[in-house]
Amino acid sequence: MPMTEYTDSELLQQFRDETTRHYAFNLIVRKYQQRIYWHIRRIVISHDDANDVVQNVFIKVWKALDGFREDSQLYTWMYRIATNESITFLNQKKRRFAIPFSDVEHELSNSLSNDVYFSGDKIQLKLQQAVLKLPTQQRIVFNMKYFDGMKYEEISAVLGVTVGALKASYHHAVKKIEKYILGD
Amino acid sequence: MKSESFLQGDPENLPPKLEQMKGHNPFSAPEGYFDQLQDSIQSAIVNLPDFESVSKTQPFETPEGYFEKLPLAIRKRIEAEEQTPAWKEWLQILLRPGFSVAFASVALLCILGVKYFTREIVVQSPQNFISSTDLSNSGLLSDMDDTMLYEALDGENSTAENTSEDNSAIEQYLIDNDIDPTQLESHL
Repeated sequence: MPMTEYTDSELLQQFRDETTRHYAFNLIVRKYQQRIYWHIRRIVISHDDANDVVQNVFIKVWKALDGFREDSQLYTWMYRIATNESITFLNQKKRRFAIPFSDVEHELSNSLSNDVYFSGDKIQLKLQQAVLKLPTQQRIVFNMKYFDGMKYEEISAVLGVTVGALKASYHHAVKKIEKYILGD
Repeated sequence: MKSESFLQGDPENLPPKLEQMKGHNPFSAPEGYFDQLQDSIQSAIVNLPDFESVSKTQPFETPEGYFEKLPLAIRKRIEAEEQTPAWKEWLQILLRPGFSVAFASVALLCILGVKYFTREIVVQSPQNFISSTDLSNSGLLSDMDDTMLYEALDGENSTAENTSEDNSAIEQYLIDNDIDPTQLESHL
C-alpha cells in the first residue's frame, strides 16, 4: 500500500506534536534518505563512509528539527547539514591519517576502482576520477548541478554562495573535467 | 626614425621587410594530412564520452535492501543517544582532541591562578630583630645596670656619630631625672 505523501509543512507539524513525533520523523527519513545519501555518497565515495555520515546527519536533524523555523525549505536545510557533515568527515579523515587534503581525494579516486558498490564502466570511472580532482567546494557544486540536477538558486540556498559565484565555479569545473577526460 | 614614421603613419603600410614576408608560411604539414583530417575528426566525435548518458546512469550502488533498513538503523541510533546520560555526552565532547587540549590549558591556568592568589606571603624579619616581649622574657634588661647602658650608648656613639647628640641628650635626661634604666624594661 503506497504511503501517504505528506508535505514538509505537514510533516513538521506532526513532528512538533509529541504523540506523532517519531512517526513523522520516520516519514521524513523515508522521504529524504535517498537524496541525502546520494549527495553524501558522491562526496565521501565509499558506501560505508556514506552510511556513517547519513546516520549522523539524520541524528543531527532529529536533534535540531525542533529549532527549524522554516525560513528555508526542509530539504535545503538537510542538504546543508549533509554537506557540512561530509566536509567535516573528509577533514577528520585527513587529520586521522595526517595526509594533505588533495591526497584524500587521490585516495578516494584509487578506492573507486576497487569499490564493490561501484559498477560504472571505464567512462564513468574516468568522469568520477576527474570530479575527484576538483577542489572540494567546486566538486560539490558540480555534483549538485550535474548529477542532482539542482537549480543554481537551490544550490545557492544550500551552500550560501551567490548564484554568480556558483555559475563561475561550475563553468571552471566543467572545463577542468573536459580537459581531464579529453587529455588522453 | 623609420619606425617612428611607420608608427605615426597608416598602420596598413607595413615596413618593406615585413611586407616582403607577408603571406609566406614557414610551417608545413605531413604529406596527405588534410585528406585524413576529416576522418580523424569524425572518429574523435564518435568516441567522445557521452556525458548525457553518463549523467543519467548511477554508477554507485548500495547493499541489497539498504534503504529499507536505514530508517530502523537511524531510529536505533537515536534511541541509544537518548539513553546516554548527559554527563557522558559532555565527557565525550570534552575528550575530543580539540576540546581536551583547550580544557587542559584552562584547567592548568585555573590551578596556577588559584595557587598564585592563595599563596602564603611570609615577610621575613631582619635576623637581628628582637621583639620587646623577647627582650623582657630574656631577662637581659634586668641584668643590665646603668653603667652597661652608658657603655652601650658610648659604643653607639663610636659607631654612629650622627646619633651622638641624641644619645648625649638621653644620657643627660636620665641623669637629670634620676631614672633607673631598669625601669625602662617595664615600659618597653
